[in-house]
Amino acid sequence: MTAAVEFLRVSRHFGPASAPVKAVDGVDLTIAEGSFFAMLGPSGSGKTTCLRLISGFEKPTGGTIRIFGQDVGDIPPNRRNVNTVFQDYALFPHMNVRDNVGYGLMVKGVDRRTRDTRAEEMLSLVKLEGYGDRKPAQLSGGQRQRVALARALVNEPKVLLLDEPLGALDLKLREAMQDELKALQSRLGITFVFVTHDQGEALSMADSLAVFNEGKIAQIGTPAEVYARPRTRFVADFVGSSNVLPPEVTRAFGGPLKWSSLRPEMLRVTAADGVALAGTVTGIRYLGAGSRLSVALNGTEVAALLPAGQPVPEPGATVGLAFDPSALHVMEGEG
Amino acid sequence: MHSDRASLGLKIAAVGGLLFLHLPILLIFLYAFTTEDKSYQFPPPGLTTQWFGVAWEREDIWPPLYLSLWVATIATVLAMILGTLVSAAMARTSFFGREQISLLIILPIALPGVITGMSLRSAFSIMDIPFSTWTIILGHATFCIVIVYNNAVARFRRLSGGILEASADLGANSFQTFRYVLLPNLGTALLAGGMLAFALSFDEVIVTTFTAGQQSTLPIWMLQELVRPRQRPVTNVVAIVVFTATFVPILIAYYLTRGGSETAGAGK
Ligand SMILES: Nc1ncnc2c1ncn2[C@@H]1O[C@H](COP(=O)(O)OP(=O)(O)O)[C@@H](O)[C@H]1O
Ligand SMILES: [Mg+2]
Repeated sequence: MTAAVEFLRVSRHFGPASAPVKAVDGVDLTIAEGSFFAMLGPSGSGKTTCLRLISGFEKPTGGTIRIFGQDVGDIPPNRRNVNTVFQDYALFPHMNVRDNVGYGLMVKGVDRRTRDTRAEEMLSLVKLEGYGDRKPAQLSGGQRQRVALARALVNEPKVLLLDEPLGALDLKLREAMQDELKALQSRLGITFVFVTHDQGEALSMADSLAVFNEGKIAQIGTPAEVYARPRTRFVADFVGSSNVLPPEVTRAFGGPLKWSSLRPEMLRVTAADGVALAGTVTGIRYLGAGSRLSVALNGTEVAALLPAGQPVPEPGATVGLAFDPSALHVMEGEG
Repeated sequence: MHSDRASLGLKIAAVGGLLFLHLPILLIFLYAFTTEDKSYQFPPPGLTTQWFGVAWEREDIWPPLYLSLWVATIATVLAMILGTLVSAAMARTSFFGREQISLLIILPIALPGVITGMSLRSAFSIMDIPFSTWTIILGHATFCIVIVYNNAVARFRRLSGGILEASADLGANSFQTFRYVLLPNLGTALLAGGMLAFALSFDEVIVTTFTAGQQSTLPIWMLQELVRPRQRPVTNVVAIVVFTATFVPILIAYYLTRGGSETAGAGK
């Protein structure tokens, strides 16, 4: 397995050295060739800066970046075999869709006929046949997104960078595009580096993902690993909707005196008598496929998922909580 | 009740408004052809094209015409250079007081011409600058810069997004990005700004009155001409020239800035 992209202690600090903004701070990561890699993190955690370091629009203030083994420190963006689907699409407003898609070929000196043919191929790849003559302004958000994708793929990049590509789309379209992007990625075999702040998106699409927090990687692994075994409280909080339990509550649940996490779906709501753990129902949210109960337990809010069909307790009622002890995940770090 | 179609009353009002605006212009054209040269009597007693010939022969028309063309050209060139530079600076950087400076830049066009004219005139006298063609040009440049700036800054803002980076990302070098992305997007805005600036300068009277010495630009010459009743239709002939010289650039500017521009597409 070759590494498509490698970060070795990469930093990108902005501003004065006395009070730097550490947008990216000592990041180590390896993105396997042909994989779908997600960068997940809240806004401002350094995801975009990481992508720009790969595309070459930012230069690291420390560390080394390798693309397919080559140190790219001195290679400008236009000479990296990497293309980007920009967050705001950044389509050329004065060109029609065909010229937008063919742009990468035009600047390489490919003749008009060849690049028009290629542009049409790319447009059919993203299911936009027949839109070649339109201007970007005449397209919907979803269509623009597809044009941006076709334009970035026309140069056959080895790595495709996508910066929150689905962020501007409505839910239904977003889900359809998630499936399409995933299918496209496996078909083309190109390495996708996909930035998102939507944990559901990252979990469902990625082969592996890095969770960013304040310019550092909080955890890196497969979605299943990160979801099931969050390394820190931050990851447990951010990825999914896990209960994060302080040491005393972990102890009460039968664990060591450490921070731990527990998935709401792992908790069973039982009658209050005869169990070790009981608390007061403080809130109920109906979710369609079930209900989400908030239970106050030793001063900590704990969420439990109640499958549809089970009787829903009244707010204020005392309920018991039961769970499989192996579901309790004790975390290494705190922060 | 709302309807998509304008009511009859509204239509009549619109037509009335347009007539009120444009009939006087038509009258100017009409009187360029009248046989009566002392007063504007309606209807004209007869029609003739002789005034075009007379205007051509009149020696006193040419210097003001040349002066106006010269002033408008130089003021526009100055405005294009300075206006573009200012707009590039304003669109790309953010600094303390940026909004206030932006206001200061567009102030000359919001200020009444008499104020601009007066202040320039006193500034010139304080600095002992004699009135000349250059003082007129400077006066005109103050508002021409604003026109170019306004056109360019809007376009720069649209450009400062990702499209320059997108171009580089797709493999274009700086020259290609300039040629295929920056220029086509900025070019029409600059051209449109330049056209408008030219038109504005060409028929400006107020600032010119304050900043010109003994010279007359074409509009000032026309004003003087109307006062004495001699070969009045000649003034109308000149008016047609002024109209064309200002209307055509404005029309071009309008089409250039309308919607997305079609010019200089990729590798045509
Ligand atoms: N050009 C820049 N100058 C100064 N600070 C920047 C610059 N780019 C990004 N930052 C800062 O770096 C941090 C990370 O930004 P970014 O990578 O855009 O985060 P994300 O994409 O995860 O939302 C933010 O605090 C942001 O303000
Ligand atoms: Mg971002």
